[in-house]
Amino acid sequence: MHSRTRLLLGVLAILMATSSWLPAQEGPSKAKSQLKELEEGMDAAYAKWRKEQKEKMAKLRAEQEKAKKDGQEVPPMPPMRMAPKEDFYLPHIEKARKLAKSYGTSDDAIGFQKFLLMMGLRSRNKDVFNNAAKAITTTHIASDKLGESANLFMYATRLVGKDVANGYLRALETNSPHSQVRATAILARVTESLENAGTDTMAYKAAKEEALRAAAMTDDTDIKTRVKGLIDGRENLVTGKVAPDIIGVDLDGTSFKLSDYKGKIVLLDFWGDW
Amino acid sequence: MKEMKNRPFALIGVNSDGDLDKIRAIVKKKNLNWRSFQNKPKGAKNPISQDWAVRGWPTMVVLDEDMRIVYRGHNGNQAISKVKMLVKKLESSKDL
Repeated sequence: MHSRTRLLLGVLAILMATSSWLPAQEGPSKAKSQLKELEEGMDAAYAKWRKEQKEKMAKLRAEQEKAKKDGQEVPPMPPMRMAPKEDFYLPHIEKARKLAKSYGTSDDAIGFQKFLLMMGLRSRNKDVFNNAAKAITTTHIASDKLGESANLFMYATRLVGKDVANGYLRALETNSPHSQVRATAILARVTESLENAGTDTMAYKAAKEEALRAAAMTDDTDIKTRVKGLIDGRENLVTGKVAPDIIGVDLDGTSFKLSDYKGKIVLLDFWGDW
Repeated sequence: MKEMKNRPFALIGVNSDGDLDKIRAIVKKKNLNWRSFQNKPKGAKNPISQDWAVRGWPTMVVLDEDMRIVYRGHNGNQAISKVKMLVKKLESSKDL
């Protein structure tokens, strides 16, 4: 899979996993267990779809191999679908909509609206995304649990366009009473330029200034770390700069310092298995 | 990687999975005979990927003999050709 797509899916998976972690005030509420059920139902359906997809491909491959053996002409394999079609998501969207509605303006509805944002992104359905985004930025604007939504707005640029996505982020920035939400929204809005604009451009400098402002306005260490990491990645960990040292213990338990390898050419490979 | 034996080169893997046993199993299975780390080694304050601002995987970083970054990106072939070039250069400068 394309590394950027994989990254996006990874982030979505993390957001999905963490959205049910919010500490419960007095045991798991009804809304929380309903949300968990909804998410688990969706995960299970997706796992089933993946499995069927894999089986289908395996069957096709076996047929092709047999045809090849028999000396028949072999048609090319169709590409494997990475995501289900839109209608796969519809029953889950319908369920989430009903549940969100049942909680009205209460904060308990936010989890379902976030789920709908995610469904909108995954099924590439603008209406689903926009409706949930509007509810979050108007009805639920006073909630302190909107940081994750801000990050989802950031990934909506390709679905709803940059102006619309930024409009939601601006609404959070302007109207949220919580500095953590405002900071997350600012950072989400400027991340693209901070990551990609040339470091000598006005766009980069403006984005950097806003990111630093966001980091300064909140106590949230995640935001501070992200800002530092984004700027470091562009300014200090670039070609021509001296790398930071790594000091630690390797997988075999041997102590190790990256600077031990001074005088050699080093290839650092950051990898994962997923 | 065999051709790099006894040459001024080191490959260091930084694995970003959380599960140490799983990493050990993979390293063993794939017979990775180079030094490997978990992203957050014992005694480190931050995960390595955080200090190095790594946000996408895989990421390759090539360092020259003075620990200066010469390449940083996601393209393995580019990284390896850079390494080959630098190792050659380093060896020839030592021969002089």
